[in-house]
Amino acid sequence: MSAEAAQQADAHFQAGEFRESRAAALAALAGAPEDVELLLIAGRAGVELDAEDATEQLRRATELAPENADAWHYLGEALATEGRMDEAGEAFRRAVELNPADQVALSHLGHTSAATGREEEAVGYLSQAAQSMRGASTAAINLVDMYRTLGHYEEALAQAQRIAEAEPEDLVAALDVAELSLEVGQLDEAVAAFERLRTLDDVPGHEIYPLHGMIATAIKREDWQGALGLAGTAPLSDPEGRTLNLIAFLQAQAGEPAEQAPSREEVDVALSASLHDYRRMHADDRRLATEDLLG
Amino acid sequence: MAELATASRADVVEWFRCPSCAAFVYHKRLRRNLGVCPDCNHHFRLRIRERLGQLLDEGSFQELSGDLEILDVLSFADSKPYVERIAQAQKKSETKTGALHGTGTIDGLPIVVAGIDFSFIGGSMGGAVGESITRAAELALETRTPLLVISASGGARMQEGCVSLMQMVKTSQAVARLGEGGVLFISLLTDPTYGGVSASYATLGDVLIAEPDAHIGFAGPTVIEQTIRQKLPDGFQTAGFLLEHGMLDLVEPREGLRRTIRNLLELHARAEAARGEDAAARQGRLPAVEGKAPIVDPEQLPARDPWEIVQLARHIDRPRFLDLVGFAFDGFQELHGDRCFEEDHAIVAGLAQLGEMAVMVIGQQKGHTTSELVEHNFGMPEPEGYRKSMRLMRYAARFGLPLVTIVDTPGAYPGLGAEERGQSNAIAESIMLMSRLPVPAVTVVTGEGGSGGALAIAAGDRVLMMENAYYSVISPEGCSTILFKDASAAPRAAKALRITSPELLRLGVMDAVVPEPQGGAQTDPAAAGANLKAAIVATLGELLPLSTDELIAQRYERFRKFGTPGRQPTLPPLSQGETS
Repeated sequence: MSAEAAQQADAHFQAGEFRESRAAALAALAGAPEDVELLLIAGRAGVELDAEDATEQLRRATELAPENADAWHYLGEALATEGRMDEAGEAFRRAVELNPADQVALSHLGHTSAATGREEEAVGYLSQAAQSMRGASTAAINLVDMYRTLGHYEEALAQAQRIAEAEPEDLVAALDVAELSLEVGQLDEAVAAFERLRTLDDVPGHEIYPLHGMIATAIKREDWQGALGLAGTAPLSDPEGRTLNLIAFLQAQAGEPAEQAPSREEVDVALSASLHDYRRMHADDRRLATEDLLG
Repeated sequence: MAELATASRADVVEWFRCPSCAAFVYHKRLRRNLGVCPDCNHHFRLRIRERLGQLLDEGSFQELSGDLEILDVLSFADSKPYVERIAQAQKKSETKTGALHGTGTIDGLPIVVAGIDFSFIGGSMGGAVGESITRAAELALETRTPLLVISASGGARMQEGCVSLMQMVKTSQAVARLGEGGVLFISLLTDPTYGGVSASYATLGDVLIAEPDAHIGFAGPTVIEQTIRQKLPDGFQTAGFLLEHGMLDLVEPREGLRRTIRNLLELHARAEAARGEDAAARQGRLPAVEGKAPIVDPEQLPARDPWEIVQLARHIDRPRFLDLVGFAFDGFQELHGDRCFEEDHAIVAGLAQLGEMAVMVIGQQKGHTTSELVEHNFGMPEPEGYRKSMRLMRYAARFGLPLVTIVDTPGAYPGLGAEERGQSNAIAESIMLMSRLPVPAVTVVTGEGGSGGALAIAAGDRVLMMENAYYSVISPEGCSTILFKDASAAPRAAKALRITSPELLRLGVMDAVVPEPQGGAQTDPAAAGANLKAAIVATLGELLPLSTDELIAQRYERFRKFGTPGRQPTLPPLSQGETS
């Protein structure tokens, strides 16, 4: 009876019918209050519906079946949904101990570690998860950010390249490769990556951002004429006029007369702000696309 | 069951990095938090359907934009044809045209809604987007249902050339008709709203609400920096910046948006219902009151030394506008902004409920503590305060809302900037507007009634004052210096100016006096508030049966009589002892 009910509740859950799923599970739980499968479905559906007792149902499942890795996994997700990151981390740790193949739990563990300030630990878990998951998994993508935060740019670049290979159309990954190549001094690779971005992103007005990356690369080389040449092509595609000050700076550096040239620091800030805006734009798009997948 | 945890979701990104604070946020937590970072309150961008899901009652949205099509009117092509860009955007967005509209409810209250999806070519407004918003406005007008438009846009769509530019007029004239018809238009501005959208319908709402830190403006900040060759201040063009500059009514965090919009709808539903009612039904909306009735016979008022009254009127514990609003009204929803220059905190205004009646309340606010007094500029408005007040008087007129104004000011702010920005004209315009307002207007002087700065919001059908308030052409101190050549003669000037409630009642400047508790309103603010409420209710009860023509005609006569021989009462001279 409860197996049948669990199957029915699960079918509703899989169909995204969380109310029906939870109602079916709760109804069956009335007759079998210690049925772990039913508790798991009721709890998971409850998380989707913001039910107050969802976490407690999942915790009860872990008490009844402490060896059930899924129960710990789902409890961790419920706790993470409530922002209880320490407890969520503990639950994911149990899930991974019980089922080392649960790469999603491992990824969650990495993220909860990061959220609780244990960055090095987080990097360890995320890199383990990233190795066994798809190139552009949550672990892989956020690992790039973690490495960056910790100043491990070589590792960040290697990870970003991995994602870019797996997802050749992913603009954020391409931007990561470009920026990180610039950061670690692989300037030819940086130029190539920014050029790749220009090809990938054909939205009118967006050309300026990769161009700014290329100018930043030329500046790093102290190739003032090269940078000036690039900057000279920019105003046409730069409706916001970010490049005007830049040209004055480059003219001054190249020994040409320039008025009101900004400092190197101001130029660096302006270029990184441009790339930051660009990243934000595409990170938002990537998030929205992912949310669509998550439903 | 076991495979659910591991297999199907391995490819999906479930933790997002907040672009503002860099925290990792679990997607379900983000969704539960309405797309707001739980660590730093950064408001992530939402898809339009998710936004509607957050604001509307579940399952209530009926989309009406399914038949909209984008026209490639210019056969435009840049590096690729516009039609290809449209196809690309349709894949990326969840709308066919970049906008949608339809009907829905919020807590059962009906609303017409339209919204732009920023994912669709940067939310730019082309013909189809303009069409969606215009159709929504037309439907709102036809059905007399409030309109909510949610905007997120970079501006006009280049690929549709001047046809895109024309959407600015098309949408603006559509929402103008809503204003003419007295149908509420709420505009919700989300990050970012720029260019041809911010410069058309989106900033023409009766109520403009923005999400925190949303960027809103006409020209982009970099263009401005390059043009003026100056570094722009931190927070430039954010919602907070706009609010401080008088351009918004409210900056509302996402979690409060539904509640705020619902409150506005409820207040307007009352106004809409009252619109078609007869006088008795409208009077029936007023609440039963417990306070003391207003006094119209000056003999019933105790004789007090005018200088003592000045001190009571200025008493730091005397209930101020916001205290009194709390006692006399329910559900006060403050609205901000003059839409010109700056938010002036010396004048506070908004919608409120009086029983079952929606009203507009405008008043001068002082506060009680030093920081409150400074925040509200000691109740001395600048031109922006009067312009905000006028904006909301017009709002009241559009929706047939009775107006209640509460006066408590030492005077209009005497400052350089105030003069530069037209203090005199702001006061004059306000007096003129209020004197011809087509809705009942009740004024109560509750503290200091300082000259023109007070009068700017005191040209009502009925003007009342609280027992220990004063109303004067000049402060007693000012008068004593100018006319008595003696700064210490303020008490004498207070007597000579005849500024107290019994005297002003006799002069006809006041129509009635709101009694105060023994010792003054500060001794029992709640009782004072109850008396104020009783006076407002009684006065509105007299005015509600009057037609607009009767109101305006009677108001004209009310002020016409002052100084007219034969119509203007005069006071007997003060005795020798009183003048010394």
